[in-house]
Amino acid sequence: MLEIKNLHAEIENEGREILRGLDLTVKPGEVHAIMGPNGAGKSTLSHVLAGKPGYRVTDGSATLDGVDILDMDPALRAANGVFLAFQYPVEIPGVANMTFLKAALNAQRKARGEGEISTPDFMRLVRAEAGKLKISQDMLKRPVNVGFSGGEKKRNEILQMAILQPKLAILDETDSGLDIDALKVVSEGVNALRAPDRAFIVITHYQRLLDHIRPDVVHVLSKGRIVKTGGPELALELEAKGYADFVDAA
Amino acid sequence: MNLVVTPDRRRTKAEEALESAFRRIDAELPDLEREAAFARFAAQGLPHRRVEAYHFTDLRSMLASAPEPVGRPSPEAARDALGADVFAAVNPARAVFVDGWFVAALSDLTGLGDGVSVSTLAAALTAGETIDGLGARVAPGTAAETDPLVSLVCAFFSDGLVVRIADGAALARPLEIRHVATGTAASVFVRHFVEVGAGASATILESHESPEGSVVHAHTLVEASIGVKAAVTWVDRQRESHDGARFSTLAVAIGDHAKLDHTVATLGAKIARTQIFATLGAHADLATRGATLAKGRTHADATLVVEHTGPGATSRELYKSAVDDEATSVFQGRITVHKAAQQTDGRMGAHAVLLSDRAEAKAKPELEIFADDVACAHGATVAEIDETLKFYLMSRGIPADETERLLIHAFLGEVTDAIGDEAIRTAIEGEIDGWIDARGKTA
Repeated sequence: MLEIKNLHAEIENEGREILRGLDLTVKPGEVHAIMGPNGAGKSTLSHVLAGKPGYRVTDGSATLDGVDILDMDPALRAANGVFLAFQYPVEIPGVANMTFLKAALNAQRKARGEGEISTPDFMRLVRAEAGKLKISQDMLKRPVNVGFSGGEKKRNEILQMAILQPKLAILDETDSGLDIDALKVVSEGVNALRAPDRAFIVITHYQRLLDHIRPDVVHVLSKGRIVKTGGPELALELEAKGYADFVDAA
Repeated sequence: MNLVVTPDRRRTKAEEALESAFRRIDAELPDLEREAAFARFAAQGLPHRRVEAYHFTDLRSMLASAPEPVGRPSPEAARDALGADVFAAVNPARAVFVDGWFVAALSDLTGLGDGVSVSTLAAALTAGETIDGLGARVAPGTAAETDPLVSLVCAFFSDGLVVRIADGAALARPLEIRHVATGTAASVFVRHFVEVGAGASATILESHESPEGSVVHAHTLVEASIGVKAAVTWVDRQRESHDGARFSTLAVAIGDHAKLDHTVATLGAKIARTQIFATLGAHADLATRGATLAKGRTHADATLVVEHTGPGATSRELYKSAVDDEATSVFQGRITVHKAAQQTDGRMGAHAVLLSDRAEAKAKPELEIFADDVACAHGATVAEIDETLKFYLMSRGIPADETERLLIHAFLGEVTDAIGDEAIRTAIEGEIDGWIDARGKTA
């Protein structure tokens, strides 16, 4: 599904290379965890895949189902199935959550040549998904993320994911700032979306999230490259020993 | 004719046109202090950048000419000038002015309720009333009195509306003062008086428009007094031709414990200047909000002069502008807190979003405080569309142009959301969304 080859990327105005020849293959239905120390390039990888401005890809490729996504603008990537759950979801005063969700869903449908969803169908969909994530009607009516707690913002990210049904979901430190209860709700939301035709990249510092979202593959990212790949047991090993060994190896 | 003309300066074409126009109309109309008003104008001429209040809006260089005032339109021409009413869904009573002339056949002043009287200014003056008796707010010594645009209306006005709401009365339905234009190039001058009695309430709507492509210089002066404990909602929508000019002044006195909630949306005109001169009595409450949308090579100026004269009053000023292409928006706001106005609570914000590299926004908020126990604040920001917000929306599949639309709408939403009446709010939002949707498309 996702094929990243020799990806090099730098921060645009600094010219500092963050990703240095990263290779990664994610197959449909798989959940890959990417772990690594601060500054390894975890967030940069998620930003480069989603198309955040401010980064320059200097070499390599990233294809989703054979289609190069790096030349697409963020909206087109989303319509092609890329979804990034933000580490820090932004607040958008003046845009109601509901309006935003509907605009996003319809924009993606339009880009794929599908018709707009009817309002009753949309309402049903949102109510059902919001209910699972314990998102209140009030949160749906309020401006996007404005006045939401950290946990509410992360739940709202998962709600967007549930409604947009991406092919590839990238969770950028979704566990940061969550207490145990919120972590459970978010993880259940993610697990409910696991499907044979959907893949996940779960970026995290900590093993804790992976107790709730069981990965198929765990990677260690250090200095802009994948330096070790293994099964779920690798996460436990990291938790026990820290990153030092891998960082030195890189 | 005793015009005072500064001898050491060549007058501009626009000034010459105004003077010769004044000489001609002067013969037809009773004096009514027009002479004095024109003399005040002529002494200074059109304001320029060295006049502080017009530093950012140099009318002397911006106004290449001033079209002639025109006569009353034929009934057919007046009817043809009347397009769809932006406030139709509000179902207001209506006073319609075409090219500055009241047209009874197009107006509907029924159902305004007991204690409400509405007449034209021409009728009131013909019946022997005086400008002072109508509640003039442009009094000697006031900031409005020395304003050149105010002087021009006082010198040239063709007609206007006189609205009186008795003590304790309520306007039974909103009253719209609608200004349209036939499209004939013209300078238009209208002067309205609104007197709201103690404890009375009213919703007043103003609508100004001229056909795209027409060169109408539309001047309006509204002098209003809001009595003790009265409550007024005022919404002004301005959508002039992009080749025209709009000059609006609201001079209002807000009485003790009275409340004015005012919103203005400015969407057109090559040159627009909207001024508010407000004085607040004890415990009065003023909220004024503006949405300015400027595109092409236009210039839109909102200037506020707010004076807290009595203690315990509150004023909230929030002006937002979206500026595209090579347009410029200007905000000037001055809150003066007089010595007697202890416990004043004033807050003023001016925020602009620039939608193109060549767009400009200028803001000059000022506080002038002579009392020692007040809470006043002001803030101004000029920014581009936030890239972080844009990326967030785009990452969900919303294309770049749609993302901008959502964000501009949201930015101005703070102004429109505060309009309490849903039909009025929807009307103004519709205007704004129409402007946003038309962005990037050729006019």
